Amino acid sequence: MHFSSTKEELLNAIQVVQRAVSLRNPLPILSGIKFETGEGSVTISATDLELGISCSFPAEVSEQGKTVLPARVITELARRFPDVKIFFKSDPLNGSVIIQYGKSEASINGYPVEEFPEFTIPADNTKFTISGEILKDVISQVIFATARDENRPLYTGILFEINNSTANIVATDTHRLAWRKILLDDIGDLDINLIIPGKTLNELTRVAGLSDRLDITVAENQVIFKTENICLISRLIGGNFPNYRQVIPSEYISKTRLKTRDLIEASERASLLTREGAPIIKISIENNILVVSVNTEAGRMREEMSVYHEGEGLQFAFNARYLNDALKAIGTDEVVLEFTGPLSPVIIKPVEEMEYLSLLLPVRLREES
Amino acid sequence: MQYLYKITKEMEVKLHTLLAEVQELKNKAREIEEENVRLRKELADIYRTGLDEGAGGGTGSLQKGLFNLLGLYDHGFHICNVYFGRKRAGDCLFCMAFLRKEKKLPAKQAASEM
Repeated sequence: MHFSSTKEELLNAIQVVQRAVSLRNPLPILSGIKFETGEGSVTISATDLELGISCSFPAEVSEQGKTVLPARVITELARRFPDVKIFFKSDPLNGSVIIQYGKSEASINGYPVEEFPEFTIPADNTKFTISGEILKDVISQVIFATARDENRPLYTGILFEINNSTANIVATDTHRLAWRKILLDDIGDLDINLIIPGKTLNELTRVAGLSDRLDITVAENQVIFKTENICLISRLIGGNFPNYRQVIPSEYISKTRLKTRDLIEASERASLLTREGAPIIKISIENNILVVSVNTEAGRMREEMSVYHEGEGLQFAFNARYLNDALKAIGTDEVVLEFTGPLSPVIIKPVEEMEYLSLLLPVRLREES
Repeated sequence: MQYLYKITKEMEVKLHTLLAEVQELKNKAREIEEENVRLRKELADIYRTGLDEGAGGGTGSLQKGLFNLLGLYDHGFHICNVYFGRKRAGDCLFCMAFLRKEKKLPAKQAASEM
């Protein structure tokens, strides 16, 4: 293997794939980045067996070949290279790679390339395309509701329920839920349900460009996202997502319209006085005034804001972190809160016409139960 | 060389012991999982029987079944079909949806009895 490239191209590609490097995996090969030359380009890839990312960058290739280099070393080196052309040349005798930059050179010992897991795309698969911008938007609106608990893997994923040119995208950790519906063009009569790990989608939003069209390939238990130069492959989460429609209330008893930022800032301030791990704040609404209050050992706080309220006055307690996650995900200046009853979740919706909502359960306070 | 052979042999014995222990742990884990599934099923059956009896005995008994379910939920267990009988941390949307649905039933039943 012998190729040369610029520091910028090399570093960009390494920063993309190193997100899939597994430094804690007992298999040492997974702590490496694979380099493979092509016609006028080099493709580098990394995987932790759950998620794999590959990225191509232009290079002058004078001898074809492949090698696996330790990710930590090559990433840090690439950051610190001077801004000159970088030459890579592998030594077939001892498996090391000589890297030349300016008048200097380094020799890095690699891993046996045959031990690196192959990214295989099964032949029997389903393909469709989606705008990267729309997908990023959707992911940012629902990902906050995924669970972090790996003991419940189903809820660490996001459901994509694709049917008749529409996609219902849902995430829930059973305490809160976020739902978004989008229209998909040119997908024909596709009818599939996918549960994609939240971690995969999080990485996808970081590595894929906004303007990219994403080609999505779905195989039996894998999903592959492809842009012009990046390929991200991930396992799918097995199992049946619970019927999320049953938890979305169909009617409300009162609703409030308010400025999203006002409520976020008030609840952030109020939560400073709450106990760590239990940021419970009270919200009461009466006569078009919403009051955020907290009364703890640390002190008390009361903030008022003007809102438009329809229906009876009410009082609820919420987990401030959950409330803020939902409000920040909406991305609109104004928000509507629909209250559906003491045992029911509050529905949080944007004012603008958008098929999006999130649900948040009020906290039942001890004296009320 | 003899020394190296001895060390390797000892390591082999240790690995065999470790493997046997892992196997034992695996068996125990499976037994506990099976028992857990059985217990959750039993718990579900008890509550289902309670609800069925309630449905046969009129609205009052059904309310009692619902009250029992609410009690179970308040004691920190899921009552939804997703995680029935499992310990819960915080309120659950699916349990609440189930309770809302069940609360509507007695009202409907009372209306039909009138």
